[in-house]
Amino acid sequence: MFDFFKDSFDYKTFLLALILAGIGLLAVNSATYNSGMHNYFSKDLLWQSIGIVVAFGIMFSSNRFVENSAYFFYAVTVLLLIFVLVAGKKVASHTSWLGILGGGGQPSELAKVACILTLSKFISEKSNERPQWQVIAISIGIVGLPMLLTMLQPDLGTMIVYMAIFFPILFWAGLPPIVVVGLIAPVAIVFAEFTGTATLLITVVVFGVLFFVLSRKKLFAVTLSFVAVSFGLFMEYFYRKLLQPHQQKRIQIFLNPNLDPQGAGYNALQARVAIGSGGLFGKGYLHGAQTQLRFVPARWTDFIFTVIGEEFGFAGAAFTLLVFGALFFRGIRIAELVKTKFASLASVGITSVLLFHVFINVGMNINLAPIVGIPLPFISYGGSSILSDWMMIGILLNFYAHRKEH
Amino acid sequence: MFDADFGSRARSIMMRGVIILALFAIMAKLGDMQLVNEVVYGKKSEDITTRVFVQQPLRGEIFDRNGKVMVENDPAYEVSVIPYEFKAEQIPALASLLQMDSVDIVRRIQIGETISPFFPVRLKRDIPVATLYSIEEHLKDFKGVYFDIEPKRVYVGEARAAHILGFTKEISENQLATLGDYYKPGDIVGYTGLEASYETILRGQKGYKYLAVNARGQVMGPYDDGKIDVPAQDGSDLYLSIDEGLQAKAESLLVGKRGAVVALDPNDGEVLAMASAPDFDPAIFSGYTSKAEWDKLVNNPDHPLFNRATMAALPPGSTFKMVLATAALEDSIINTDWTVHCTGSFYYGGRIFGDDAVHGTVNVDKAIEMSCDVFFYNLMLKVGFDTWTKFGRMFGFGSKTGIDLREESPGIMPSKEYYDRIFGKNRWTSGYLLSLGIGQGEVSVTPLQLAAYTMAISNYGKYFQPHLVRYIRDRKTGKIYYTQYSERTIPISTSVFDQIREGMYLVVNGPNGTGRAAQVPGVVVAGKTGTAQNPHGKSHAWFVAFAPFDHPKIALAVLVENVGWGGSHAAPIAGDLIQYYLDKNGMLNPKVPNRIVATVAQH
Repeated sequence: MFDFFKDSFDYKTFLLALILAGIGLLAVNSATYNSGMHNYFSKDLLWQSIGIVVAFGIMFSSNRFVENSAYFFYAVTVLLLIFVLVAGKKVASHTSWLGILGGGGQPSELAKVACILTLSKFISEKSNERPQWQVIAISIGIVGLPMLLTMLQPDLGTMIVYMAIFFPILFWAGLPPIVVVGLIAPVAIVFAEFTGTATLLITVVVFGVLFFVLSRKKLFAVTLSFVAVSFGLFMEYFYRKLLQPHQQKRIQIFLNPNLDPQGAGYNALQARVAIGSGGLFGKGYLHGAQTQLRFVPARWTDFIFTVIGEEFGFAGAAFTLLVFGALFFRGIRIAELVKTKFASLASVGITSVLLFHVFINVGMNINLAPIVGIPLPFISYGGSSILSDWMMIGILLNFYAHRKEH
Repeated sequence: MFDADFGSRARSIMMRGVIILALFAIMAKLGDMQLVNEVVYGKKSEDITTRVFVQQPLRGEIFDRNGKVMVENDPAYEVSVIPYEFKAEQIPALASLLQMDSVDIVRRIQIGETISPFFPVRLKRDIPVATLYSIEEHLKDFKGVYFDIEPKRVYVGEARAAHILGFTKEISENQLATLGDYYKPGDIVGYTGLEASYETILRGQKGYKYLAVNARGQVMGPYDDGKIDVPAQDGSDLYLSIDEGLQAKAESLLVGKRGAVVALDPNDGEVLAMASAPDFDPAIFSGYTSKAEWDKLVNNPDHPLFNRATMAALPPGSTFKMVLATAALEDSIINTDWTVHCTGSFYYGGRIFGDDAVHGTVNVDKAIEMSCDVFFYNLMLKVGFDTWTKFGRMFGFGSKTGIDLREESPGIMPSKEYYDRIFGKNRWTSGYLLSLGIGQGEVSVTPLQLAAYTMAISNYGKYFQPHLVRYIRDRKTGKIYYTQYSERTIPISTSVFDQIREGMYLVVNGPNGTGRAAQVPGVVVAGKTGTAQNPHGKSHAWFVAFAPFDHPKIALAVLVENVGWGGSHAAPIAGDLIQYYLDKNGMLNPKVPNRIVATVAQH
């Protein structure tokens, strides 16, 4: 046992996650302190403890345990997602909270982990046996199924997380840059269209240039650029002509909440005021006027970063982000250290999903990203997300422990 | 090809680059907000805490036709909390202090918090003065709990007029959803009667006072020097046509009975009195209504909350015979010489239709006087369904009178189409008609409709929209606004009305009149008895009357349920009310003898 902790235990990863969990406990306590919701803190503590136990359980598992259970895990979570769609109870207009064990649970959080493992396993085994287009097509299928099911819930935030699984894993797997760029292009063009015609024009031009730089065959580049322009024109037509004005407005508000100061914009503004007024060192623990006075909605889940920003200031927020940064670097390091292709791909997938969560969640608190229901890993209150965060840490710890084995 | 570049050095550098870029972008934005623009956001966080305090307007008061106050406001104490200052652990102590259910407190705070955590939520109103001081003492230990004085309805005078005035009550969650943005949880709203139908006039307009509050929750003073404050506007007063004394008299005459009285002024349709028994004490609702009290009212088998005067739709019995007589005379189907020989029963369509007595040979006036059913069976067959329906509708039956209350039933005025619909085409026979002719069967009317019909007979065809409110007075300016009501003339000739009125005169004053119990010394009264058969028990007694005969000042309908004959149970009540009202207005002349009947009695 002592030997294990000497050589096989990645205490760096574990400690970084533990610090984040501690920040989370402090923030949840503060966010619910004045609301008479004291059980949130103890429930958070309970979930963090369960998460750590699960992480250790995965860490102590055998070398191939994670890889071998990937497909089974994937099947179970997909079935759960379907079950939720059929029988789940509605929470905040989503149907993703499973009405089990009284507390409810979100299988879409677990589905993300299952999806990372399954995509990694598939690519590590088949990428050399099949033609490239087949690998890409099946990969899209693996990611697309749970993505579609969460889209039906509908949970837009979790849905776009699947993009953060798909692109980085394929990129790490060695897919030629031209293909990666070609796959990203349509997604980028859709978003660019919603932002405005000028952005669309710039995006199409940038992709055209990238195609010419990255591709040796000029004819291929011309074709790709032509497809990109056509797709852009189609999106322009779709958005301006086929969508009703109120549908356009909803998309605009989604991308820029300030257009709706009474609704989504109110939350966004309150969050910014809370964070901005925090200054360098913050107003002190439990003394954030905005968060304590409950101006900020959902401040223990999606907007928990406002508590950190207001009460601990820039120093506290930057510290939190640096801990996250160190954890992400550790994830990439593990991807380089491990001997199996599966573990390497899965490490990258885990790292990128966590990064994406942090970027979107903090981004929506500070008006950098649209407001979607994505939790801040380890910190936002919520059993399913805390559990899946610690599962991912457990998987990384397992990979590190077996890093020298094939 | 796939494997060639797996996890290459270049790719891992790019990955790390993306991580650094993403975190750097966030930190740059954070630095801009928290370090460069801290002051701007800090100011915003101060501004945002402007707090609104609602100023409740005084609800309008209600007066009777002589200016006697019927409803006014008294101060009552209420306890409210401001959710964001309030701490959940205070709930058990507060619950025992206010004698409330903790669950109820939690629910009220939760509903209030969804609107604004800074808006006071009312917990309990109308705290008894006796316990007020002990509670006040303890309240100092609580945070975010406040006392407030709010007006409470007080009912003055002898008359309760519960169904006219209606009651006010704390707004329900349903009403909150349907009544619009003006209302907030805990608001008082008119539920029934005039309190409901004149809600927007009585309630006035809430005022709003804005206070600047700093981020620590301390009040800094009026916001913007009170420039944007909106003062509350008190509600307007209602002046009713009700005579409080007559109303009290009517209520006292109905004590212990189930029934209703409606008295109208035949000169303008003003409601002089409108009572429904059993009634209730509207004061029960003005403060805090306990569930036990509410359940007791709602579950009472006699339905005290139900306004029988406007909502009880019952067969009118013989009071309806004037409809048929009018139709026959106006359309010249008969004249006063047309007679029927009554043998005490009538054989038609294989069935025997009974009568109360053997009336001998009667014309229309005698038939009304003695309430001879056989005469009207014959007449109904002669007049026919359509004509009868047409005249019934002319007198307003089958539709609401339009009185200024929400609680009103239209009753049923049967027609051929109606019978085809409920019995099926050709599934009913003209035998059904005979019952209708004497006001039994499917025809159903409200006491208010019968009173309005009596009014229209007494004044030769003027059908005024019955109403309770004469005018509205603005409390602030003292300006008076007269309410407008409709009137119409029923196209029936004066000579026909003379005949009908003569018949009604005989009912009270004739030697064989069925309504002699309604005689009043010093004035000539005319009327008509009615006894509505009731398949579930004793008959309902009706009496309609008006007086004085020559220049009517009052027309009324009296209903007493499940007691038997109209002539013995309802007519005396009508007489008492006429005596009271005319005496009060100096219209009883002891020298006026009961007019000696000109027509020769049959028996």
